[in-house]
Amino acid sequence: MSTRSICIIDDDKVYTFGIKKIIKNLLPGDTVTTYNNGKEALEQLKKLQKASESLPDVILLDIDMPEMNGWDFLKEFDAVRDSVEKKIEIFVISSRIESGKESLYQVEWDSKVSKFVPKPVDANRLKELLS
Amino acid sequence: MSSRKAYWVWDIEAETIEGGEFLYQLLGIEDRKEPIHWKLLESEFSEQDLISVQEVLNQHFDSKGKETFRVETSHLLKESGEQINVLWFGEVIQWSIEGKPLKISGLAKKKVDLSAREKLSKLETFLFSRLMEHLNESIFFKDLDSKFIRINAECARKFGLDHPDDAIGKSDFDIFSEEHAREAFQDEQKIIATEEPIFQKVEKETFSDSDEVLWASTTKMPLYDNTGELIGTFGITRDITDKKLLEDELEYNRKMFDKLSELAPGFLFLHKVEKDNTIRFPFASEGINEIFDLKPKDIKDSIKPLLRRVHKDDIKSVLSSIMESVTFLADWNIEYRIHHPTKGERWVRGLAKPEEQEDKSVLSPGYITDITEIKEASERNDKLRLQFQSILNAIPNLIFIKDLSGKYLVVNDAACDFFGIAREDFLGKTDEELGVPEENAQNFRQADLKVIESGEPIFIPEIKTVKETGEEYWHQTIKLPYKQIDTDEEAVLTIVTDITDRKQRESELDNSLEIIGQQNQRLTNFAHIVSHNLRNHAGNISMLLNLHDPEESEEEQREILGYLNTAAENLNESIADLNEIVDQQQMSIDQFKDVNLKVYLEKIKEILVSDILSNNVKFEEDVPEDLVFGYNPAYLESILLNLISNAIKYRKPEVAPRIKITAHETDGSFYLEVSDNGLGIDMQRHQEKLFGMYKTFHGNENAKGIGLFITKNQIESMGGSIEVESEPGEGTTFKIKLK
Repeated sequence: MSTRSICIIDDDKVYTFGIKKIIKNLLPGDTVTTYNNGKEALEQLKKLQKASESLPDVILLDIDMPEMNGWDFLKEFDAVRDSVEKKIEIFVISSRIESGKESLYQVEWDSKVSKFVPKPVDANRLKELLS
Repeated sequence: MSSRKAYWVWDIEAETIEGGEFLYQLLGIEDRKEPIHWKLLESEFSEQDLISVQEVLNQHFDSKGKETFRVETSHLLKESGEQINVLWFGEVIQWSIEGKPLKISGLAKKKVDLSAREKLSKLETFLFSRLMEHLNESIFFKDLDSKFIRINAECARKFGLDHPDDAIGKSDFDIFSEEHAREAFQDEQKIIATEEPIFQKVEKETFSDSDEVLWASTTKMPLYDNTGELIGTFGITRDITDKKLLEDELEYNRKMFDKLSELAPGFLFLHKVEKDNTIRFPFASEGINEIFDLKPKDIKDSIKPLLRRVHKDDIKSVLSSIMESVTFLADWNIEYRIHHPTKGERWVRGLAKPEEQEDKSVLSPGYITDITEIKEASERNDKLRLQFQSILNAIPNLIFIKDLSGKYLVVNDAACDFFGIAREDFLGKTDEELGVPEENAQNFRQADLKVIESGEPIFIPEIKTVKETGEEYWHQTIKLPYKQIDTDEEAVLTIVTDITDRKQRESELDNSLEIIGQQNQRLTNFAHIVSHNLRNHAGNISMLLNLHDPEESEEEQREILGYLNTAAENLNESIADLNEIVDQQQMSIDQFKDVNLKVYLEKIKEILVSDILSNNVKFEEDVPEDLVFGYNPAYLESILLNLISNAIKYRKPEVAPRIKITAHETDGSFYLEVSDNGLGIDMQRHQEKLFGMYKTFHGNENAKGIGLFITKNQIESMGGSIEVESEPGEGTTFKIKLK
């Protein structure tokens, strides 16, 4: 498996620290970038696109965030995503997603989001998603 | 004697008399064509007669012939030597210019002068024949064998004979039925035997040849001839058939009346007041016995026995009522008490209709009945009615009965009290007449008619009535078909229950339910947030603990522990926030107190004094100093603190904060408006979350996101509401209805 670029967008610093750590342990080759909210993430990703630097392969997106929430990010990010040939996989991981109701969101956002996952996630679940 | 024969004319100038046959006969003159000289006639008068003739004539002349003269003279007839009296009548028929009589004309008649006995006999014969001819009663003469000798014309007519003589030789057996003939025959034979007459015997006459029945009154007597020998019987029969029939009818009517008056449960009477004011009872029925213990004859000629029975307290009114009735010919109608010798005190009712008679007496047919039982029953009835009414009055429900035309027949006190109408004004009126709003009155009427038509009760669960005072009443109504006791007429019984209290409780319950619903919603929200936050923190802690690996470097372990600490702090903070929410939820609404908004505002400004000074906050206030109302003081403090601290917290960094506060009371509600010139909120993005928990919008470090949630909660729990108007960069206005 080639190394991947993984991006975490979440305002919970404890959470991002934990996830980053887990990924390092599970997939030592992958690189992890973190952003505090949707706005910050969008700005940085646009910069990368302009500079023709490679965009992340996987995005782990939270919903409830200040400045720009996950939904708005998804809408805004389309412009960036469509401009590159590369397939960017997005997983929404949020406590907004209730366990058992994942499919309701999936129907709505199927083309944009690979999977909806309720928070919290443990190492096994994360490994499953990223494998 | 014909008048031609008796005629005469005397020419006074010529001294001649011409005349009819009688004059010549009187003078014994054969030649009856020559006029007679006055001297010749004069010689036929006696001296005395001449004087009286002269007197009569002179009188006649003096009176200018006004009255016919009349004079009687005596003469001796030459031919027969018979002494006759002559009556002379006459008058002047021609006068001279000087007024002297010229001609007199008149009649001369022989006056028949019979002996007294002859005269009587002739008269009797004449009268007898006239009587027999014209009498309306039947007269008959019979021989000793009861065979007719003579009957009169009327008798012949009755017997159907052409001539009275046709009856001669016949007997009653030829005319009448065997039955009547035999009875008559026996009567006559008895008269012959005893020579005793039978007077005015009423006989029923039946005939042999017809079914006719006649009634007759017959008197029969023995018949003697002129020598005194008994030769038969005679009699006179008067037809009394019409009278008899009338009598029979009267008798029948009288008997019927007697029977009826016996049957009638009262005392029937004819009361007569004569012109001289004497009082009699021409008729009194046997009923007097039962009612007054008197006999009809007791009061035949006096009212006193009746008056003696009257109760002493009523005698005056009874007498005056009789007087009034008789005097004014007004109906007599009175109830009074009497004393009955065996029954004691009784109530009677007297009715009479006075009528003035031709002889100016006043006749009053009347009727007196014993009404003691009716009276007692009616008193009992009255008592029952009173009892019924008092029971009705004791019932707190509104109860009333209306008749077919919608008029109130019965109302209880509760209904009178509720409508504020006295019972006497209620009864006999319709809803419209009582001023019930037209729409309501029509609805009631329709419901009533439906009950009467269907005969089924109607249940009306709720009717709202708003009184003039603005008070609202809720009533539950049952309408039942009802038959009026006296008349059996249809009516509607309505029973109304005042459910205003129940409605109020229901509405309170509704409010409570709404509040509980809101609380539930909040609790759900709360639970959701709890799970969201706690799960996040718990998840993070769990995740960090899993990362802990003793083989990790010390530095890395320290880093993980640091994050663990942060996660634990976050957890604590969440729990503290939730505690605060739970605490305010439990703040008792009972902690009501009169609060002065202005005073509380000052208090809050003191609490925030360092923030206000350091940020150079300017206040613009329009809050009346006397705006006082009942509120939970802790809530008011919390609300004001939150709004004002928010306004400072979310100020524009480069602009001095300005906070405008206004408050007023309108229609018993209290309004507060707080606006600032701060950052403003993007309402399109944040409206939903504005008052939710853990929402902040500005990325401001101080934002905890719990304040507005609590503020909204507090305001709503006091019965108020909160709205927000804002534009990003334009500031924010909170419009609050405190209660």
